[in-house]
Amino acid sequence: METKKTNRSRAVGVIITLGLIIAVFSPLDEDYRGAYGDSFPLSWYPMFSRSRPKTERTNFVRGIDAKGKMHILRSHYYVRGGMNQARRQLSHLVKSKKRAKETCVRAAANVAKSKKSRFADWKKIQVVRGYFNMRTYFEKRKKKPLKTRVFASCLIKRDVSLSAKEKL
Amino acid sequence: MLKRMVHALDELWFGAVSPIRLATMRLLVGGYTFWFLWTRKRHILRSAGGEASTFHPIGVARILEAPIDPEYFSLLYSFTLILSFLFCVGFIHKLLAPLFSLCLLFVLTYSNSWSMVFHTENMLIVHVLILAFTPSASAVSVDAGLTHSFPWTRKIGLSLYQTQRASRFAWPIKALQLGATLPYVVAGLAKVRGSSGWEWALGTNLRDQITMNGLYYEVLRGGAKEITFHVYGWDFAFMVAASLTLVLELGAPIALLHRRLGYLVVLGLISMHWSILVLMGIPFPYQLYGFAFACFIEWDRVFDFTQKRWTSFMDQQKSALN
Repeated sequence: METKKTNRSRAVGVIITLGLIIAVFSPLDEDYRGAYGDSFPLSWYPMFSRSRPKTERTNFVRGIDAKGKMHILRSHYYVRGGMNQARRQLSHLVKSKKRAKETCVRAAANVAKSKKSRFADWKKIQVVRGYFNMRTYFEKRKKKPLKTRVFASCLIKRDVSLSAKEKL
Repeated sequence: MLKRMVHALDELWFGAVSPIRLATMRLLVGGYTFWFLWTRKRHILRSAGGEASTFHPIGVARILEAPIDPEYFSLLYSFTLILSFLFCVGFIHKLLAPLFSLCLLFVLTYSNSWSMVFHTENMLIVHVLILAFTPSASAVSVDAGLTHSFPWTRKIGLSLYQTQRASRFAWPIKALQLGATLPYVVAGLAKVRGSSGWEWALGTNLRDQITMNGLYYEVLRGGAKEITFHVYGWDFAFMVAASLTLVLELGAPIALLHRRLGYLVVLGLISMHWSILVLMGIPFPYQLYGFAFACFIEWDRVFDFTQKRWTSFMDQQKSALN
């Protein structure tokens, strides 16, 4: 009886072990990576496997002050979540002109509402895509993008109170 | 030769071990999961309440055609949190632990369906699934305490109190070890099967990924780590780091073959995660603090050793007093 039970336990052990191995390795096959190219909890950990170009592009939101100087606006002023979530949301939002504009207006309203002194002379908000040479950016600290594409632009209206829709 | 190999494999996978070892893993993984869910509450609930158009269901969340009501999700989160505590203490394990593992799988997959796919909890889920469907509550648990004191409680489905070493406690430990090492092999294979091939070992990809991550921090969070601005001068260091990463990732499963070799591999993997944290600011807490690799420690031996030392210390104190 005990041997029979042990054998059954071993058979279960073998099946689960083989199932685990097959499941963990399955995302190496492109057909098992899910509709969006990666899944959870079975992943092929693509992050480090891709080669990166010398010039990278990324979307962000910036403020422009009275002297025309540009400043980065942190993502929590226009989208929810951490850095990666913000990145994904922003790349989705810039696909539509209307959504890009809404994001811009939301960011401008939140800047207007903020009491932080660094925003005092900001006049305009822009939702943009920047193209950066990575070596120049990090080695020489030349942070100006090689080129930018503006998706939406809006003025900061400081006398306008934040409407319910604009709140995050 | 084949017979000897099969015998060695059988001994490796099914050589009897104490139930204490598996139970300790349940306590550690269950405790970590409870802490993780508790401290990440805001993030999990907020991320699942975004704009519907950013919801891209992955994994088990693909059963949904649209996002679920945030209030229902909040309830499910709370239920999962309670179940994680019951899993940790080992209460009605046979029924509640599988339910907990499936709830956790859904909650984390659903949360990941709103943002990029995070890879920080993959190993945790695999470990919880293994522990939930195996007899990990046969010792150091409410179930074991009850069936030990009141044997009739076994009839209502509580896990039986066990002290004997057995093979049914051995293979789940090996499965946990596989769960802690195979994902690294997948990550390693993905690197060398990518566009760079084995040139990945030269370190350029690794450096570029670090600077890319730094750029995201710059434009979205207002600043990257200072160390990111210095990586271009470190070509040789990156080559060494990338080569070591590949060796560690592709060779991770050898940790299963020998105890001391296992400790060495685990030390390497933990160091790798600390390096990722320092260079990229990406924390993998389950790996960083060693929970993912606790399955390589022979906990029964650790407890026996500690108990013997404690008894010996107490005896010495008594002798000194007499």
